[in-house]
Amino acid sequence: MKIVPLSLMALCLTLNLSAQKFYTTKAGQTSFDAGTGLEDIKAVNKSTTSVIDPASGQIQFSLLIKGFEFKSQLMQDHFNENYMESDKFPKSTFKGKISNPEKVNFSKDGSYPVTVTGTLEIHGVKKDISATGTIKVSGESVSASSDFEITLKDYSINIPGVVEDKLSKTAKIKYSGTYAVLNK
Amino acid sequence: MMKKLFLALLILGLMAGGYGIYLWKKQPPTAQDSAADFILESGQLIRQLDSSTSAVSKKYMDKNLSISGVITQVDAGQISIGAGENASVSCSFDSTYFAGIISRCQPGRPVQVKGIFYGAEGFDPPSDDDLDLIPTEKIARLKTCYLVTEQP
Repeated sequence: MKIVPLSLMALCLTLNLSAQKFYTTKAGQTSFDAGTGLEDIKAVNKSTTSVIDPASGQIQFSLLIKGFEFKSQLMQDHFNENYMESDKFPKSTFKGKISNPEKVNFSKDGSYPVTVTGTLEIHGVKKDISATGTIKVSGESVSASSDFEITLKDYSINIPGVVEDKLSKTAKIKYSGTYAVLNK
Repeated sequence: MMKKLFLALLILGLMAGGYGIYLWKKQPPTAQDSAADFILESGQLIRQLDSSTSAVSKKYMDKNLSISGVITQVDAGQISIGAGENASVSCSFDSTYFAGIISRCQPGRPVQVKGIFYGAEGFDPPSDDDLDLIPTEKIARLKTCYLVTEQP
């Protein structure tokens, strides 16, 4: 009689062990600042999708370029049509790995500094980058943030001479997101 | 005669300058600014995207859509409206506006939301661009959203 419940327990345990845990969000915030003293050129994308695999340290991000919101309609139009060609290259992604995953304890509350290396794709151009950030664990909730800089020319984003003094050659990028657990 | 011409050119210059400043300062439209261009249920939009993402982009890109359905998820500044298995319409709001409506946005509540459609993810065959750690959810994205109605 005890065999059946024991078998069931064993099966449940096996299923539990085989379920892989991920952290996901589809509401991460990515903002950039490519302004100079002459012009404020900032935008925010509030719908960045991201996944963290705590077991392997893999981390991925994806956003739609048209999701960037500017304060000026004209600036938003120029960004999509002239610089990012968002109809041709609608998405930007990052796929990488936490270089020091052993330093992050996803089961213990705390703030963990991390370095992430991987491939960032913008405007159809892929480039390997490395960025520092922080992963915060609070119970079942995990948040991640990072500040880094990219050079626009590296991603074939060309700045016309007429706006050269208004648009920075680099863009400061900020990311922050709060993740929920997903068992697969 | 020269004085009149100079005056006319000055007025034209001022008008052109003023129009330039108006264009530069003009804010992008939000969903609240205008009536919806299309009224749909969340599932309808997802089914149309399943048939053809390019046709949907052509028809709805940058248009004001009114979407109704049931809230399945609430995130920071964003709600997801369910649209079948592993599919949703995601609506992002201005953070100040969202703080005022968050108490009315609970999972399980039917809502009608207006938002500017700007793309979709997870519909086309998998490519290098997709996140591959987990299967991509089908998401239609709306921004600068506005809550039209909700039922208790």
